[in-house]
Amino acid sequence: MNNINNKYRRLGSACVYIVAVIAIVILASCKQEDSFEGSDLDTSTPKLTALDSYIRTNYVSKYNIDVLYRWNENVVDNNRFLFPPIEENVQPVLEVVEKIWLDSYSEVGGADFVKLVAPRQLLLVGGRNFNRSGTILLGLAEGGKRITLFETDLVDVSDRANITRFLSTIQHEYCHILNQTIPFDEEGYGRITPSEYTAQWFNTSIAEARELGFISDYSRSSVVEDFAEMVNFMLINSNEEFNTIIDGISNIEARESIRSKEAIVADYFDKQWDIDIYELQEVTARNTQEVINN
Amino acid sequence: MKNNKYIINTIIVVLLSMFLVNCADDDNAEVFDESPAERTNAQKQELRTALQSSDTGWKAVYFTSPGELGGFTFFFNFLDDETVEMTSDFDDDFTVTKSKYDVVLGSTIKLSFTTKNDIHKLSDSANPPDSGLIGRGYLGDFEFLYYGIDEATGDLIFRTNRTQEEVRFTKATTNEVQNIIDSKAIALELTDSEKSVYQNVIVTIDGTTEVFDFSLNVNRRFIDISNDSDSYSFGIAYNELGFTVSPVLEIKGQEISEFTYNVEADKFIADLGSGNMAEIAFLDAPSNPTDDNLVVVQPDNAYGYIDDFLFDATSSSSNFRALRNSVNEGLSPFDFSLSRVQFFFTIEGDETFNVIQYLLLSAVDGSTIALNHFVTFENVDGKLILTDDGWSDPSLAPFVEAIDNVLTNSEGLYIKQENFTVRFPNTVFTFTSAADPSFRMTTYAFQ
Repeated sequence: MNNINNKYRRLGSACVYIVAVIAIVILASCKQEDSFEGSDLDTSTPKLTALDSYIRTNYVSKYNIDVLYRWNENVVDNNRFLFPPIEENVQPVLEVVEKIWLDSYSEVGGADFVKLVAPRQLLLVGGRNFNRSGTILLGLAEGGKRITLFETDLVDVSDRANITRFLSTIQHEYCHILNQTIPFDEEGYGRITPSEYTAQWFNTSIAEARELGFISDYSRSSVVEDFAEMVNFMLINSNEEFNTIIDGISNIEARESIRSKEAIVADYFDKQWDIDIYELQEVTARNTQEVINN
Repeated sequence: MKNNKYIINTIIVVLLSMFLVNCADDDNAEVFDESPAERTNAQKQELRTALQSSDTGWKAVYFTSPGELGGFTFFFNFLDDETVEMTSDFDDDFTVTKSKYDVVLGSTIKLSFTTKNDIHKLSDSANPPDSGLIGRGYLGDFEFLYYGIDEATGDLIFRTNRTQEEVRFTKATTNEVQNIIDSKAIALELTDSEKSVYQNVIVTIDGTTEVFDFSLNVNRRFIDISNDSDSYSFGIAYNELGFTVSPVLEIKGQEISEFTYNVEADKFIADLGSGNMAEIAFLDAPSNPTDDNLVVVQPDNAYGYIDDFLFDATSSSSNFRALRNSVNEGLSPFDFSLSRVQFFFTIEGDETFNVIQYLLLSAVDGSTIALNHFVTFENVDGKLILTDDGWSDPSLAPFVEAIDNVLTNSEGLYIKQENFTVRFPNTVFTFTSAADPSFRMTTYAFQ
């Protein structure tokens, strides 16, 4: 019995000895561990040009929107033949966008409106985006996260028609983002001119489309596009100009259809976003005029 | 049993020793001395250093899509880690302009021209060479994957990001921009249709001479040459001496890679040595004449030049356009312009009843006046000769005489059924003056 106890004691000492050796080996291993030195990846702060600083101040900090103007193949369709804008053209265009779009929404919807409901990226492309059919793609809103604006190099800040065309892309695409955040009554809206929507919308002129109860030719492509086009035309025109367009339509039924659509648009902005679209229209028209005057 | 135990023990010992030996083989050792990130950074730095290593900048001849387009010559000068200045022979603006570039990791390290400059003109969906490339421009790329430095020549080797076409940056000479400017003057010698619309290629190899019709698509910088037995197509890139050819043209085992302009002879010559050569020259008449003049005069055939669609056709020569402009100048005080020139041959089977009809369009109300010049025809030596046989309204004849005089010149017209179409599927026939081969009018066949 004594002998057995003795064996257990010796086994215990042996275990202690082994644990001690293992502990020393582990500690010794730690001692040989390489220390961490910096990163192999380039973590240096990028050099900011005056343009980059402008974007940080006026877009990133102010509205939480990043502006991509340098080419990045991961954010464009590589099957298209597109190119980045001329660097000097970027800031003047962004200033116009800020004044007419961002400032107007902020003034009417509140300082945080665009900050909360906005694309996170604005991607600027220099030239036109021609489809192989010969039609032109003016803009894209991808999943509510990024608006791509083509034709940056073609913007002439002194020409009203030119600015209106460029801004209409933003107004149209931003409406999609609002709709993607809070949907509008598509079913009710679609009942106004149900039989005139067509994939061949480009075969009719804007004037012909208006006589059918649509504000533009592209409106005929779908209910969602029709809604965005209504918002677009209401915001790129003053109230007076918009009324002149509607009054110029000879078909009474078409005029009434567009007015019904206008009512749904106004109701959507009022109930869902607490924005009086007619006030927004007035502020946008005023800001547009200021851009042209300057 | 004892024996079995011995065998098992032996196997265990062998296996254990194998395990131990395996452990001694260190499979985890790095194949490279540096980590992937370090190697990527080193390669980026290598490219940045290489790009800035040439004091005179770089020259690159970029064939965007061999097989359908020719090449464009660029001058690049990389000023620092992010600024490049460049110009090219894409158009007549040779200003050296600054923009941004970057060296980034794509499918491998790539040089990316990140803000707009001349290189992007090749990738403009709104500016194709012709309607066949609508939406695709000149199929160009402005991101180039880096494939290292050619040890022998010092060239930087790249492949385009989208289509993997090889592009080499060669160290520029001190006057590379001037070379580009000079190359445009050389290009004019080849493309000047005021000399004549007829050009041919005479190839002499091993004492045998072959003549090819020559057709240059100016916008695409692409040449087709053909005769009854052979045809070849290739892109060209202009330089200060002539032009290079890609893909290399191989005729009867002889490779032709460049032509040099000879001022005295007014010819582009590829001297292949040993008496072998190829020459491109302007001619007074087609080298391989057709008998299409016999086709057009068949009963009730009609052909029409339609100003809206054919004025800009590459087959409408600059001299023809100049005469059309002069006709319009004469008509403009009366608010009219030339809308069509139409030929009606052998009307109702009567060979003496033929009309050249000028349609004059009113800018006021969109109405047209049809001015008919009745003519008779003869076919002589492959030419169609049209002779005056009276006007429907002689008082209006002077308005269109600039063009009419050429069409009814006694030397006649060369007619050719072309193998291309313009905008519509109608067969295209061209009418070229034998007296002045710089006049070529393009028409649609109406049958």
